[in-house]
Amino acid sequence: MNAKNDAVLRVENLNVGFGAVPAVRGVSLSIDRGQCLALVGESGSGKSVTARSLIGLAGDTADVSAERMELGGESLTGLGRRGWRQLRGSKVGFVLQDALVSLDPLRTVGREIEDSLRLRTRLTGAERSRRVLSLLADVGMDDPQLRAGQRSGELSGGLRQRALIASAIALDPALLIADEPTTALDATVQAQILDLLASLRERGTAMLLISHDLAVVGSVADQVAVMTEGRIVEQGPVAQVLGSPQHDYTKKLLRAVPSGHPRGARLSGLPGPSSLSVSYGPAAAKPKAADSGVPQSGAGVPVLAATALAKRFRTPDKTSFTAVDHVSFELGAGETLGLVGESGSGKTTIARIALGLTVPDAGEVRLFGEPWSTLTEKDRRSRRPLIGTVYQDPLSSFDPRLTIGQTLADAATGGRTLNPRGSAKQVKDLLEMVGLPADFARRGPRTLSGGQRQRVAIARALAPRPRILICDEPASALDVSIQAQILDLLDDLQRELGLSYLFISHDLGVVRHMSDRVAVLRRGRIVEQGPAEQLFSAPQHPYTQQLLASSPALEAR
Amino acid sequence: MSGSTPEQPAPGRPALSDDGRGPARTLADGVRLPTTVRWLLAKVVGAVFVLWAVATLIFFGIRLIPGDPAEAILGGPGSQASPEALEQVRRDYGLDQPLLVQYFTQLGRLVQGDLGDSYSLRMPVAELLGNQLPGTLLLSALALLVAWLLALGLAGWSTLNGKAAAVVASGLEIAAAAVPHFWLASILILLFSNTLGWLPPVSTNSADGLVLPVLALALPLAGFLGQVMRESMLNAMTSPFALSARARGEGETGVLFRHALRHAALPGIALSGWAFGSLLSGAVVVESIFARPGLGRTLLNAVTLRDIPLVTGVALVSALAYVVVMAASDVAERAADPRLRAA
Repeated sequence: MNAKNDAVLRVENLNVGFGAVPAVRGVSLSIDRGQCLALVGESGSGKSVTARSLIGLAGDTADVSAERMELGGESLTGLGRRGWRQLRGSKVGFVLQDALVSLDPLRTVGREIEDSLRLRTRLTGAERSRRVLSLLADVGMDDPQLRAGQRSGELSGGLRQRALIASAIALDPALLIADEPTTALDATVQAQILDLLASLRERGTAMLLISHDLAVVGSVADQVAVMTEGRIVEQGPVAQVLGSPQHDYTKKLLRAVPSGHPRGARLSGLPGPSSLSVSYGPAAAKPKAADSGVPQSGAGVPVLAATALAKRFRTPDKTSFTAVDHVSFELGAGETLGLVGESGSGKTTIARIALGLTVPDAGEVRLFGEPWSTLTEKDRRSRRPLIGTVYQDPLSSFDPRLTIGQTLADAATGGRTLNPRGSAKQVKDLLEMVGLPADFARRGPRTLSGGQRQRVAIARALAPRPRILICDEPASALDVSIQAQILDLLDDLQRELGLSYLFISHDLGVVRHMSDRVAVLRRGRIVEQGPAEQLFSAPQHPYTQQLLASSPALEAR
Repeated sequence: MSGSTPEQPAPGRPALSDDGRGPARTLADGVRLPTTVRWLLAKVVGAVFVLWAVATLIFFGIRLIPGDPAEAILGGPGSQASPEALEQVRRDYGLDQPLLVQYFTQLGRLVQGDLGDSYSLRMPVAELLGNQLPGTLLLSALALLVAWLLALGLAGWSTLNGKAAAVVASGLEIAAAAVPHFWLASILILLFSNTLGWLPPVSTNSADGLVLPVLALALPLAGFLGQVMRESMLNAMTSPFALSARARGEGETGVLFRHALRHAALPGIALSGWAFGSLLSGAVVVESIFARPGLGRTLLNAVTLRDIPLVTGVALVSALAYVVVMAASDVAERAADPRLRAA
């Protein structure tokens, strides 16, 4: 930040408040031409509000003030409605997260991109159409003519994001603000979008990149500003901030990133429980004990074994789509098998087959060596308590009208009662197991934070005392420090209770940290399977190598 | 109506292949009719089924009403018809035949397009309907149009004018939706005809004769449509794509017209088929109050006089109008929302 005269954006002491609630406190930023500043922080840290304040879109209720806010030498403080509108699009481009909802689903992407040109240039319709096509080609669209006539719903995630970027750079703005531009994308697609952003920066566009993902930041940005509770706590060159962080919060964020941390290492920095004081029934206390209800997993017999699973679905135009193709795996007692793959690779279908919710077209799942997927639902029901499941979004999997206590009582009694009083001890134990105070039983799911909700989801999954947990992206919707706590919790529970996990995630770092063995899925097939460390350090299949290469990773430090 | 449901990708099944072009279409499974033709065929088959069901229900339903149809033909119970005359009429009209024979005879006539003669008016039903239908259709179509304009206008105004405007709009909508047609019609006549003297209390097909009945029909519908349209308009205005549009430099009015309006129209279009049906039944009341000739009044008289052919005719025509309007609103919905067209 030495070339002061070259600064495209200069902000000094920016404050934004909503009523009495301060959202941004004393933020100062400066971005030079062709430079990328990354604003990093977790949800609620004020990074998006900061970005929106820079284009005057913080909202009607926002109270924005700054000592200095300049774009290309022009002051932004005191701009009126009209002034802001002139500036948006032409001098600042703005790319939002998840283009599926950031592009109007009822209009073609060509029209969306053309809007910027129509508003701020005097080009004729034909000239605008030509410009749209060349913009689409610039952002790496394979068939601009075709794409311009399509709507966001017809495009894949990566193409949508490209279209959105094209609409933001249509007028060649000096500053591009990208708010979580790759968060909803698969690793390989994310890598392509990051390349595109890097090439724009090389053309001289200044960039403000907003992200919660330190790995993404490390691969694109020159400068990093770490934000929490509305303040920038640390700012400097990427290598310096990520390499030798000074502030405690930055250190905590970096430690929470699972990639590069060996299995079993704690991510949250919080001490693990010395031992769970609660009982988990006979199965947990003596994992190998022969109990009438719990089958014995004799030596060598996997708790869950899938053989040559296949599942096809009919697509809307009557062709069929192979979701799972010849998938076989085994899950041993107390082991974690990671299933990793991009969206559409069949991860969730496999989870549903393992849970006995989807009937495979071919192949079989056996539970503790006995038939499972071939049983009728009636025969399966008595053994259902053996398998629990944790989903990505617990909010939609909770009944909003039930308290946490009722939800847990329901799960603990197999649906016989919602009354938490009769099973108060169980509910209290379950909450304690997942590190929540007992008075949470009286609260509703909406009053909980994302991390607390996921803890309750885990407690609910544990309520029938399962031996196997199927975790489908259990921490993907959470901030990295909360994710770290949830992953630590799952680790502790596995050690204490001897659980087996089928751990599904698109995040290579998370899977590597959590799994003993990993299976890599691609288009419904397992392309590679093996011990986690071996698979990640020496991947054999080209697809695994490609996945690893495209996932931006922080070097272990 | 198999094959006519709008097909959307089910969750868990990707609608798109990797390149985003959608799954490749194969011609391997034989020649299939184009989607539009198949859709149209399904609609026609559905419509025939609905018309048959209506004709059947009316035929048997009207016989549950006590009284003698032969008497009705001869001018009702007050006509003091002789037993011989009644017997003669029964033979002439086939009323002495077993019920099922009568049913199939009538069905056979309907298939040939013969709606029979009205008992009470001694005229071919088809001709009667031909005279009455246009007025009612005009009234209903105008009411639908006015309801749309009022609903969209109110939604747009409240969206651009903040919280207070939203409260006002919501109040107006609820009040309008809650008001029954007959009460509204009476109030409108009291206010605009009796007190102010601006408009005639009796409706004709002239412009000023149409204003009050159209308003009486349109206002409650506008209130109802407004509630759904305003909600989806507000959702669109606060959506990420609206934020993106503003970030491109679009003004509030631009966001409203270019983006939010379409989103607001979608639920309105989906409801319009149903709304048109409710307007047809509302027309019965409104036509009576404004002494306006039309299908509604014809139906009212026909039911009172047990005029079976006429009741059947009116019901069939209403059902047909309903089916056509539902299909039209389906087409409009597909045109407005590309997501509904099969991938």
